[in-house]
Amino acid sequence: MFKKLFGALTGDSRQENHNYEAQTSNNNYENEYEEAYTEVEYDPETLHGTHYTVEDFDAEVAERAENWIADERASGENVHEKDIQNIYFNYRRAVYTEWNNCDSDQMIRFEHANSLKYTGVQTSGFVKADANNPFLEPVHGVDLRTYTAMCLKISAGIDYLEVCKAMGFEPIVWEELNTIWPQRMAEDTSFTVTTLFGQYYAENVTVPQLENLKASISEEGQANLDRIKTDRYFYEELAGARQAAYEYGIDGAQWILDNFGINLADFQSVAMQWMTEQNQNWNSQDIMEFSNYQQEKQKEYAARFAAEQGGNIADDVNF
Amino acid sequence: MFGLFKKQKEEETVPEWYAELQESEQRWFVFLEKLESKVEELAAAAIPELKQVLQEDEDLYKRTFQRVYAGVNGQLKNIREKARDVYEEKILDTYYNFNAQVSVLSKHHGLVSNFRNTCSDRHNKFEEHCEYWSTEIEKTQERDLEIEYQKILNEFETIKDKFNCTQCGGGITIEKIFLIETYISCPYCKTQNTFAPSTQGRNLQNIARGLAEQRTAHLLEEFETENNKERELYHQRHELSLSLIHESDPKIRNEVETKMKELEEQRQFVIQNAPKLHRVYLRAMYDEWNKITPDLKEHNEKMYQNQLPNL
Repeated sequence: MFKKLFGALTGDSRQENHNYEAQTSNNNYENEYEEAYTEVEYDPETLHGTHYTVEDFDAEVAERAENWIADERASGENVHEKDIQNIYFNYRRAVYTEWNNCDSDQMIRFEHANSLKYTGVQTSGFVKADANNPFLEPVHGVDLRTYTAMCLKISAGIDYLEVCKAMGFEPIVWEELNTIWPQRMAEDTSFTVTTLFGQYYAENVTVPQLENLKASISEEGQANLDRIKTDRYFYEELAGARQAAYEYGIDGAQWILDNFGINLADFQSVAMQWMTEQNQNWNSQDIMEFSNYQQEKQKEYAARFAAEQGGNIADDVNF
Repeated sequence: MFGLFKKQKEEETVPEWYAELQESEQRWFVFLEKLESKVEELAAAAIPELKQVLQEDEDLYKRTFQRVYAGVNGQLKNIREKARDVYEEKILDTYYNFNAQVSVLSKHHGLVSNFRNTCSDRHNKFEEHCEYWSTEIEKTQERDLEIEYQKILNEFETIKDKFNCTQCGGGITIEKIFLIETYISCPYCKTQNTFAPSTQGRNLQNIARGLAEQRTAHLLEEFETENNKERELYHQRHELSLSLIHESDPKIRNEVETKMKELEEQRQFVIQNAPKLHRVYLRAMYDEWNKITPDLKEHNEKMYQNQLPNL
């Protein structure tokens, strides 16, 4: 009886039945969905399904979005540029999910792969160096990759004068590089320079001139560094510990160096590496898992730091 | 008949379990009061200390200050988390327990939901208290950049005529504050000399924007005030529209509708005007910034142009 009433209200009883079925047989639903999910083949570059063309996809999105915008305007709404962008954004999600019958993780991976095309902003893990991009033109003959390699050495604790010497140029050149590249990062609204810098940083890039410059690292430090690269849980533990240290007035980066022998450059490089990996293989379940693990570890270390400092200020207040 | 009578009597008296709820509520209030005084204690001790640390921190990036500041905020966060955890573990848990036992149809169910609302309101009040002190602690970061700027200018005055050519020893006048190492050619023998600015001189580019913002803060405030009016006007109009629901007197309706129309006109004006004020602020801020560091003008202007479409 209620069903009829609801059906009449929404004018679509078929939809109502469909929802009802999906809810009662959750397992079947998931199975069906898994199967459908694997059936779709994706283009490795664009992550669009191969059963349609990108032009058809864009056209479908545009048609739906423009209809909506026209409706809004017809009903007297002021549609601003930002609203239009949002409308397109939402329809892109809807059409992609519909046409590929995929989950939200796949949809986010698709958004990451196409962020520059659709939103004008790059995503780490998907940037390709384009030789024609004026923002990527070398500065004093030093390209972004080499600049990143120099930054890596310097943040690993090697004196910038040493780095300059190895590169064969005056410190004054470094100062200009270190002014112009960050300026370009700030000016580039697509974030290509920044994101590519981050990608190179994650790869821990180096150039032949700098290969012999090695920051000193203890045996234990090297073992820990190798481990945070492969053991995500260990990385999350140290990231949590570092955050906890800051919250107890301790220089977290220094604390990691003192206790685990990993310097700031190496730590940040691994952090970028995990972030890039996460962007490329977006999986919300894993993200939650790692984030919870980091928080848990942060609490453990916080308790340790608190104990060392004689407790927290409100420890004696109890419910 | 008897059953009905019994039921009525039961609903008039306060049930036995209510004492337990009251006790939880009282404990919650006492607990938060104690935490609030801890927050005040923390702030009272930390604020003067932070101010002192900032003043004594010779580091360009004020790292010692940042470390202590992070530690103070960590303690504040710890107190807030403690309250939130107890709220979830004790208060919400108690609420869910009683909610499962007392039917929503029971006359006493109101006691259960009141318990939750009272405790939640008290928690919000506690959060407001923390927010207030958090802002007070935040203010210790503010430093008068005019003083630092003046120091840089004074230093420049004393060094600008004291630089000599490494080749011929001729005096070279430093014509402006350089932010990074720069080649300067000797006017006599044309040798390229490297001029390295002092640590304090280099710091000019770190404080330049902050100083420009400090000098144009009144314009930012004008913009923000205007920008906030939009929501205020919207709510005023919305309230008037609600008051019309049961209003049948055509005269009053007419008056209210005229007022609503006025409010909407004001709101539309504000929507147009706020971005203009924002632009006025930004232009003034960038002009000021360019005056402080003319070398960064070209870069800053690009940043300004990038920002314009987002206003």
